[in-house]
Amino acid sequence: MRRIALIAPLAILFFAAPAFAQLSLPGGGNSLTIGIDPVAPRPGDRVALSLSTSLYDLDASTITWQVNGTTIASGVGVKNASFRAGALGSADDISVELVDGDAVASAETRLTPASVDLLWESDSYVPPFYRGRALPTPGTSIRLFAIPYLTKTGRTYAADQLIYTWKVNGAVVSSLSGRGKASARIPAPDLFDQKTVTVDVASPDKSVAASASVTISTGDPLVRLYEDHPLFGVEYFRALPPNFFLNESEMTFIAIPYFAKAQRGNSANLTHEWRVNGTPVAAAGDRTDEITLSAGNTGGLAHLELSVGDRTNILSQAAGTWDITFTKSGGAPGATSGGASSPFGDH
Amino acid sequence: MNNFSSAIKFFLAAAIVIILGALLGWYTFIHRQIAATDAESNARGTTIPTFGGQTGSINANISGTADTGEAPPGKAAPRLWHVTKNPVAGDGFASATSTIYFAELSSGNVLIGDPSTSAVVRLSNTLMPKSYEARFAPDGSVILRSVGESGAVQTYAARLATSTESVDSTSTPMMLKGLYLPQDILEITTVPALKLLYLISDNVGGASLIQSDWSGATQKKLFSSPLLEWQLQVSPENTIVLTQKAADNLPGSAYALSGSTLRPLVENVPGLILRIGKGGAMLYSSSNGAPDLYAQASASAAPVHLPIRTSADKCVFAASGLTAYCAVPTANPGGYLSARFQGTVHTSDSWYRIDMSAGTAEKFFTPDPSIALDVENPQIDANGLYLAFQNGADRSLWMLRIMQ
Repeated sequence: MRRIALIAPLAILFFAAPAFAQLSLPGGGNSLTIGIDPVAPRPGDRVALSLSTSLYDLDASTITWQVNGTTIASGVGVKNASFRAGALGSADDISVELVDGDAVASAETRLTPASVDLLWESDSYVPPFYRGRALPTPGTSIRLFAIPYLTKTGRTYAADQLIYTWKVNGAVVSSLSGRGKASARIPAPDLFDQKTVTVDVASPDKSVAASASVTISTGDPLVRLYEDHPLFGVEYFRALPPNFFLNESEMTFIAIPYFAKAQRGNSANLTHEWRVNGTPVAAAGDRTDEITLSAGNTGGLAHLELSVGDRTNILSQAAGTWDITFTKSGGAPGATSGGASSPFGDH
Repeated sequence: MNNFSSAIKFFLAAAIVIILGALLGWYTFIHRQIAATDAESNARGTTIPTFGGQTGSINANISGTADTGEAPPGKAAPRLWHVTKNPVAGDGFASATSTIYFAELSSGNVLIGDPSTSAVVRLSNTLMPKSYEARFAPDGSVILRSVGESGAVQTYAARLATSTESVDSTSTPMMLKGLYLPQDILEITTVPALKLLYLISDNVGGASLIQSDWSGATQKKLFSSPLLEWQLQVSPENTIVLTQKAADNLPGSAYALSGSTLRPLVENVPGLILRIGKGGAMLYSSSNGAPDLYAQASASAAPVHLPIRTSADKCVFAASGLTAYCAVPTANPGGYLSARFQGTVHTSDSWYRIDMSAGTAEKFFTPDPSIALDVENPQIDANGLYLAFQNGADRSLWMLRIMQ
């Protein structure tokens, strides 16, 4: 009887973070190899185990898998098994025993479940009290935040003790990486492009590690039109649709450039080009994001166009058009649309 | 001499006639202007404001107690009560009662509504124009949020000069007394024992989570984050929960703050919105263009996919944590979250009761088809009798009696 006892390292290094990795154990041609997927399991993850060897006939061998002393799979040709990784702070001792005729071989390893969450957001503009997340557009920046959960022998590493390696599209960004660098800031991808950002986190002795990736893509900013009501202010809760009727002779509108590169809706880097029925109209005063339309006493149709640009990025643009029918007479919507004359000039 | 005297009399008489004529002309001009103003106001669909009454000019003239529908003041409100048509900044139930505090968006005035009498009474007369957001503590203390001329967000933490939880039509409006907290607070919420919790930009491009008392005198930094876009909640057990702000299709995560570290609650759920209840109960939704809702009865329980399609921001937990109430859109608008948040679409909702333990949902109220209610900021009173919410389409305030 031969017995080949093969002991794996106490933990696994995961810096390369491939989708599938193998443990090459000492012993040259006699080695058993335990494959683990994922290589850096998070607590509670389903972990797939596989066995390979160049010496034994696995299909004819009796194989027994154990995790923490409990048999999880056993039988002839059972080359694969799976289990659920333990909780954070625990360790999973994995062992496999192979019996091939008179030959017995075994291998062992230990997994320490660890994880890192990788969160991100854009610094693009959204109006005050907006309940949603800002989306990335060209020219904006992405803020990234790695939240690591790495433990060893029951002790959780503090985030600032860990070593972070940031990669963008697979290339390490040295300036962002280092001890305690749990956050990063990168330019958003170009229009319709995307970036895959990966963070590898390791304990100082590199005995525990985890990795996470996100793929970020960009879109265009978009512009919404709201009434700036004298009493209620900007009616953010009610965006004006492309066609609408107003039982008013005058109204002030404000354009909100969602996801533009701006600190405020009327930031100096933004340009607003308004047109009413084809005629360029200059916004009054400093508020280039606002326009007041007055139909006088006659009512009428205003075809309002707006193009919002960015002086620092000609590729970043948003535009909108709205057909506004002023029904000063107070008629029901639609009642005056057919014969509405336009005090704003021909359309 | 006689000629001179006659001339003076003539000129005096002429002057009197001219003055009388001018006064008559002025009267006629003013009268016409009033008529013209009335006509213009009628055309706008409004009437000339009056400035008397307990509910104040805006509420009385735009909404007032006439909104009680079929129940006149003094009678119990109908099951579905339109408390005010006026856009509100926010609302909150008074402690241990079913009366509801709310702040007008236009004036920042605080009012209180009582469904047992349909009465709406103004409590404060301090003008805080264009208050876009309000948060209430159960004693009526209020956080009013607005935008200054520079575009910076202003946050005013105020307490009523005298607290009241009864709706007394003879009470006199009081001044709000408070102070401005630092500018550009990103998110703020109230915490029991009259504490505040707010997230504010720091000077290194991130945000700090600050716990403060109502006066702002004592402040404690609880957490620093490189990210700014968090939604804040506090569980009934005073656990602080931070959830990434949601967008359709984008993965989001939620965490409980434990010391200064984040303990994950739900991770990498597209369009995640989460509501926390008693004992670690959670309702959370995903949105890949359309919402899915999940219930988790306790911190250790497995999540259950509920058979209703809504987002968790339309839900509220009863005090027990065993029951929740959710408004469910009768039809699903496309681009659900972003479209709602930007005000481009509004839903028409029915109300469901969620049994958290069983993971079931049962419809218990559908508004009249003529009423489309896009439920936002739902709240429930301490006794579990009433729901209060804003209609996202116009920010008006509604109350619903849960039992028939």
